[in-house]
Amino acid sequence: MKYLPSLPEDIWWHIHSLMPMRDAARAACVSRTFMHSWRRRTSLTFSKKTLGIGEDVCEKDGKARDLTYKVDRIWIEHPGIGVKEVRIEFYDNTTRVCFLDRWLQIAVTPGIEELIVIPSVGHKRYNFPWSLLSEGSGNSIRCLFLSRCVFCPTVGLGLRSLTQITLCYVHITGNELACLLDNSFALQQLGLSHCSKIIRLKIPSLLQRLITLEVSACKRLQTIEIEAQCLSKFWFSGERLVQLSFGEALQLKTLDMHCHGAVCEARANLPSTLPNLETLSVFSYFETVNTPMVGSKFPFLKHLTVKLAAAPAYDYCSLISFFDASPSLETFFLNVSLFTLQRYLPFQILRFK
Amino acid sequence: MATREAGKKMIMLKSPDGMEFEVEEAVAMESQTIRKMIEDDCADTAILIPNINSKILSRVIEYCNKHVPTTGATGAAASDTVAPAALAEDLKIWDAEFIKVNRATRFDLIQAASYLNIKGLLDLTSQTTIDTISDNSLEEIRSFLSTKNDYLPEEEQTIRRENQWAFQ
Repeated sequence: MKYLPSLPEDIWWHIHSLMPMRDAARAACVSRTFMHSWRRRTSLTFSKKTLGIGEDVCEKDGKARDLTYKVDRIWIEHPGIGVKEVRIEFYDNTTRVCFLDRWLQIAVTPGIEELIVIPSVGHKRYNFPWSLLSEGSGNSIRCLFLSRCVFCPTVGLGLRSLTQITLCYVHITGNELACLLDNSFALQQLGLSHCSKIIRLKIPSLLQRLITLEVSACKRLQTIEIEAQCLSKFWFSGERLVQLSFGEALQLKTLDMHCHGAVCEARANLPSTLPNLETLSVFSYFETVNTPMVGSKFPFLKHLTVKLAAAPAYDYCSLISFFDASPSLETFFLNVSLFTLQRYLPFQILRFK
Repeated sequence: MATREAGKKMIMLKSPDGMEFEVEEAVAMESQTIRKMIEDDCADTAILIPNINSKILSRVIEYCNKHVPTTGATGAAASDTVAPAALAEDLKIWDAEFIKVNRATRFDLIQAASYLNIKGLLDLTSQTTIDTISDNSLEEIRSFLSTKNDYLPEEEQTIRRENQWAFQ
């Protein structure tokens, strides 16, 4: 056989690192070079897709359980050194806890940058071993995404490199969130969705680099206090309005607010608290009170979107109040849903510029 | 340093087989290795590119020429601007044609891209190699990569058992 120019080992490692998980595991059987590379893989993704099992395999299926044991072998053989990105999106409900604990113990080492844990589609939440993050590994982590976990830190974690965090269906209280974000000065994006244990959410002024905040469907939430000065985009969605308070120096420019009564609230209270707004989207699927005619203004508001479904007595002409308040307005989108005997009529969309 | 009309700085690249290539500085700086040499003022005369023959070097220059960010009216390289979608699509088609080469040339290109630190070219050549060996048998992969099975039989059995899931 004619041999091709042999490539240096580091190039093979690079090529191997770009392979999807399944191909990379197969290639590990080709030669020692690939096996060494496999053992030191820095990006590990475990999901139905990467493990090559069908979407239809459910967590009670023996096939998923068999796979858990096999994946566990991979982790046992992997020294965990140098792991940077780990995504665990695994569905074997019956055995997941002890395995997940073990995998995370191997994966979460100093140097880890991205951790995504979506343990199960079931109702039972996985108790995330938060202490792993407090032991040196927290210094390097930049992106954390947790879903369907219980996360109860009792001490400040000091995740100094953290720039992005998303929590979905996570059992965490406001105080525990404060522990998680303690000293996370680099944080730029924070997303909280369906975190129903949070009642009071405080975004402290120490989060000086926070740019984007998304809060949605946290159903017991009552107050949100935002003191992070550089926040420029805030997206809030919930069934009902919560008490919003904003620090004086806040430069918020973009606000999306989806909840009952959002339109009235936006007109009545936002001009005084958020005078710098440039883009405002309000979505109320049950607006009962006409938009008030008040004197305060949005001096810089350029883009306004209003989507609403309102009670029969609602006077749509009251929306004119926004025009009076917005001397800089450039675009206005109105999206109205009309209820008639609980049936939707097609949306009527008005637009002018 | 040589200059040509329109005030574009030119750089001379020399391959070990004695060929010389005059390229625009911006094109040469697609290579992070060369960029560093230029920034460290080590590029007053011709830069010798070791281990990359003239045939491969000319292909690399062809790639860099195509991928250098378009220059504005002032001649300043707008390296941070994102290419519009149409341009990106055009590049993708061009790349697909560019990489239609035999294995030996592709391996030479991989090595050149690695040495010259041209991320786009390294990704392109690596990904094409991955696409080629995906779904092949182990023997086919070994043959394609021209690599030997250096496992002892019992070692191979163990690693096959460990990674059995990937063959199912």
